[in-house]
Amino acid sequence: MLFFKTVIITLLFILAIDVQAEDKKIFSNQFGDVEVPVNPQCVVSLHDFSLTIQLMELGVTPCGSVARKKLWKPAYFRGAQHRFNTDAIKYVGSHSSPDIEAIASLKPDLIIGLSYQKKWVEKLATIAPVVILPTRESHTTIWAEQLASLVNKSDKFKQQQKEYNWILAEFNRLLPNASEISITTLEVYEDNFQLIGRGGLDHVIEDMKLGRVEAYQKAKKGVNYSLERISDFNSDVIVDTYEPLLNSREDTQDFRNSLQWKNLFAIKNNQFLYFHRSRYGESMGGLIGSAYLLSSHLTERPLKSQP
Amino acid sequence: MQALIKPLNTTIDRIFNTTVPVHYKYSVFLSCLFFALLIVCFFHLSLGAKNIPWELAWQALTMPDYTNPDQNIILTIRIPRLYVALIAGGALAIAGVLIQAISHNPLADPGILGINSGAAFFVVIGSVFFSTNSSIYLALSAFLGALFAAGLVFLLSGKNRGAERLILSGVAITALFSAMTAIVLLVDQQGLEKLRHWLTGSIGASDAKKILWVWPYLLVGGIGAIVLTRSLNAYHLGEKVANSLGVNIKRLKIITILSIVLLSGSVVALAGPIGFVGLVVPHMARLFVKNNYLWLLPFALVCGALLLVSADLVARIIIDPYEINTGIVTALIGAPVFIALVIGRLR
Amino acid sequence: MSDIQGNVSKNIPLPNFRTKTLFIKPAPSILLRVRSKDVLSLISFSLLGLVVFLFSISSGSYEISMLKSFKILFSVGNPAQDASKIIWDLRMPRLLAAILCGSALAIAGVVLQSITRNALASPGLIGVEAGASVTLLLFIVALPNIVSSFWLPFSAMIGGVSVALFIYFLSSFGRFLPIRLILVGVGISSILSAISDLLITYGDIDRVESALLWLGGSLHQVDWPQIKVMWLWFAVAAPLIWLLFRELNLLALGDSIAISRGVSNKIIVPVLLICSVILTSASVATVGTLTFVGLMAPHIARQFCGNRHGVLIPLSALVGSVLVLLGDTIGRLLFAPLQLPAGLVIVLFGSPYFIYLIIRLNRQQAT
Repeated sequence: MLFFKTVIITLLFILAIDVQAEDKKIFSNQFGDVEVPVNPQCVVSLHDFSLTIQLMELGVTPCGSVARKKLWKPAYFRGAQHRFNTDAIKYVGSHSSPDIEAIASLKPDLIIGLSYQKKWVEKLATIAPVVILPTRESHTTIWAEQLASLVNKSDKFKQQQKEYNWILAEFNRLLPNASEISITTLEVYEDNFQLIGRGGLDHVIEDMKLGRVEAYQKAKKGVNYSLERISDFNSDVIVDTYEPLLNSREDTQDFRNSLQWKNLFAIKNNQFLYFHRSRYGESMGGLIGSAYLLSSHLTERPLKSQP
Repeated sequence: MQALIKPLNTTIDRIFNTTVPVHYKYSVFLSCLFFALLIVCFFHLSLGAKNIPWELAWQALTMPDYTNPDQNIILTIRIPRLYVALIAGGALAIAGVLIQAISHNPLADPGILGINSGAAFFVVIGSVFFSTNSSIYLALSAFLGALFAAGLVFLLSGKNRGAERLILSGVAITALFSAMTAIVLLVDQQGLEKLRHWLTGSIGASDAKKILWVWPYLLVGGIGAIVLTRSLNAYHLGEKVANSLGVNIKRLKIITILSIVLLSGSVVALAGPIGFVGLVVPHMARLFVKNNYLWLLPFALVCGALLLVSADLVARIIIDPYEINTGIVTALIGAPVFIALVIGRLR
Repeated sequence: MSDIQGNVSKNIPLPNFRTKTLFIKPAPSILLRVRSKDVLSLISFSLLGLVVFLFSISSGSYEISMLKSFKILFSVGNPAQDASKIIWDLRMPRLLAAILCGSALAIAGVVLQSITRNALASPGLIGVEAGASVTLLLFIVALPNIVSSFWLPFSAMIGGVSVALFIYFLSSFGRFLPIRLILVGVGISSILSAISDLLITYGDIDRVESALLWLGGSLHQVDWPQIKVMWLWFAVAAPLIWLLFRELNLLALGDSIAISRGVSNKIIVPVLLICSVILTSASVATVGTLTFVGLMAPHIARQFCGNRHGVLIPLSALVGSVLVLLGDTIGRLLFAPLQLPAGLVIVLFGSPYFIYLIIRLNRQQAT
């Protein structure tokens, strides 16, 4: 009997050690090497519009995530709220000042952040391993693959990638001369505009090998341009987005009625696309969704090009 | 500064013999300034992010053709923006004259006395915590904030406590409100970008819509200023003299402060907190007129419009093809003037 | 008192300004005379600080019972369990930073208010904060990769100090005038904030994002190395200021009196200014801007001990640290996990009291 007990206990021990040994792996990317659990059970995301959404798409519900919040209103997980059930995600503060103790109280085994949050790594590392992903430095597919390997969902990522590549291939089959079609992604505000395509749009355009007008290639992104210059970006197709939370549709109505806007080639020829700004996040799903949107809009009608 | 002003004044005096009636002299100066303003306005219309030939700018004014794309830019973007700059400049200048007059203080300005930052803080609080984006609330919270800050500054500076204290209370209140605004903006939320932009004082074509609902307040503030000229002239000689001339000091102060609040609150609602215009303009105007408020006000009005339109012009063309915020330009112009005044006047 | 003011206004002719503005009531005391009342107030503020500290260390989003947290606190040799990590790595640096920066800002405030003889002077007004933040923005946004992130706080400090020195230089054209110091500071700060607006609007967005994280610096990101650096600066500057309490007493009475008693304001004023600038910029580099503390803490302290700097300096330091501790604790607990910055809480709760205080002081002076 005693012998039996000892054997079982020893076996259990060996098993436990085995599990523990297998439990960890080294993850490395441009921001360094981190020892992470192979099968993380509770992941905390430090950015809602990219990391949280991609995690949800991979089928992993993060146990905590940053979100946007007004006082006396529930937290708003931008881009994730309308696509997934976010009830199980605990709000842990904002991306610029997360509540580190709230993160700690979730007892996470992995924390994922962006490069500009590097200065917190040391502090957060006392709670759980912290991985920085290059969401702003690299293409979505690169960091999404890293994220998938972190949460042990590489299969799901491969499916997403496969679907995305298929749309790209199909798009280029239907529209072999894509580079001859110029497209501009912008956001018009009340008194200015920016060149920006959120929700993976700019990556999709690059991957589809669509053309850009010369002014766009030279232009600086993320800076307010004068509305007077909008005709510089007079491309065959123009994509803008609206944000219902900010009333942007109503606020920019005056400009959209103006001759400057109506004289743009894309507007004149009905080749203007107006999407929801937070429809997708910066994620694989964003790439896939935006790619479907673009390909159905661009391949299923005769496109006019500027002379 | 003083070294610069004195020779200029003496030459001006020399050009116009003392035998020439003073009002005649002033009207000539005023019309010259007005002409300068017209020229700057024309520059404002024809220069900008997009190059538009002079002829087209002229045509847009004389025979507007909305179907011409370039003229359309002038008519729908630049002209509304010019209106906003003219009105904001004029209103800030009047507010500056009033505030310097009532506080006997050459360094006073709606910005430095915290009125602008109070208005801005209330607007930010309103839109962050109570999610009021609607325009009427914007004006209302701007006025409330301006009133609150003005009240606070005058409370803090105490009764008859001298000019220096007033400025310091203003500075403390400004620091307080702008620190609070900065802190509130840290509370993360979508849509704060727009607010941040507005906070540095931005003039835009879309602000022209807001003229429609602040003009009554501006009008009341302006009328207040005109009504006050006589009392202000007396007040300039000192409270005792004014009292003996039958001026009700308390009423004068209350009306002046209310006019200042109305004028600068409206400008904040229009274009955000634009600093230093109210400081610099009265000094500009005093180059021409000494201390006759009947003349000082129109001079300030024209100078203010001139200054803000020029600042806006610079803001629109200095980093082509971007536009920087007008408030940044006025701060970069006005703050050195302020420092020079401080160093020159406080010896 | 009236002849003192007469003296001052004779020696500092201020055209366009009426000079009857002495606001801090000068109470001539040359030696460090500690009254029993002072000891009482020092002890009671220390006790208050201790209570807030103990409450703060045992509460937070991560629940640790008060008993357990005290156990962890007083048995240092405990193994690394989660709760002790929370207390030693997350809460402790934060609380120490609150105490250090609160006292640093309060002391800097006392010095500035006494030198300028003005109740409304505060460290934020002499351009240190603006200088520090513009330097940070420059190195993060415009010239990245020149300075490694380890040296960023240090460079911010250098920026703050040099802007303050520049302001001092500008304000001492002819002769040094306290009021000019403040007003020139206002002007320079506006120029600097225009420049930082430019950098924020036209810089690369990613870099601006991380710059804003630095600038918005709040207590939650403080770690042990930062505490050590902050402690170093504090230990250099604060005792030096306290040793100069006699000179501060005299300076608060007016330049002429100080000079007549052998205090050379050409040497003492710059030394005091540099010390207070060091304190301010060190705390800006550690926790970001907490403007209001330096303005308010000295006033509260003055309620208890008047203007005798020997007691006023340590007492305001205590008040300052209690203020920041309270502000930070409320800010992180009130709407957790939404973190309200300590500065906002201090301003929201402190400003009504401050306004009341100033109005009361005005009334007192009027009578």
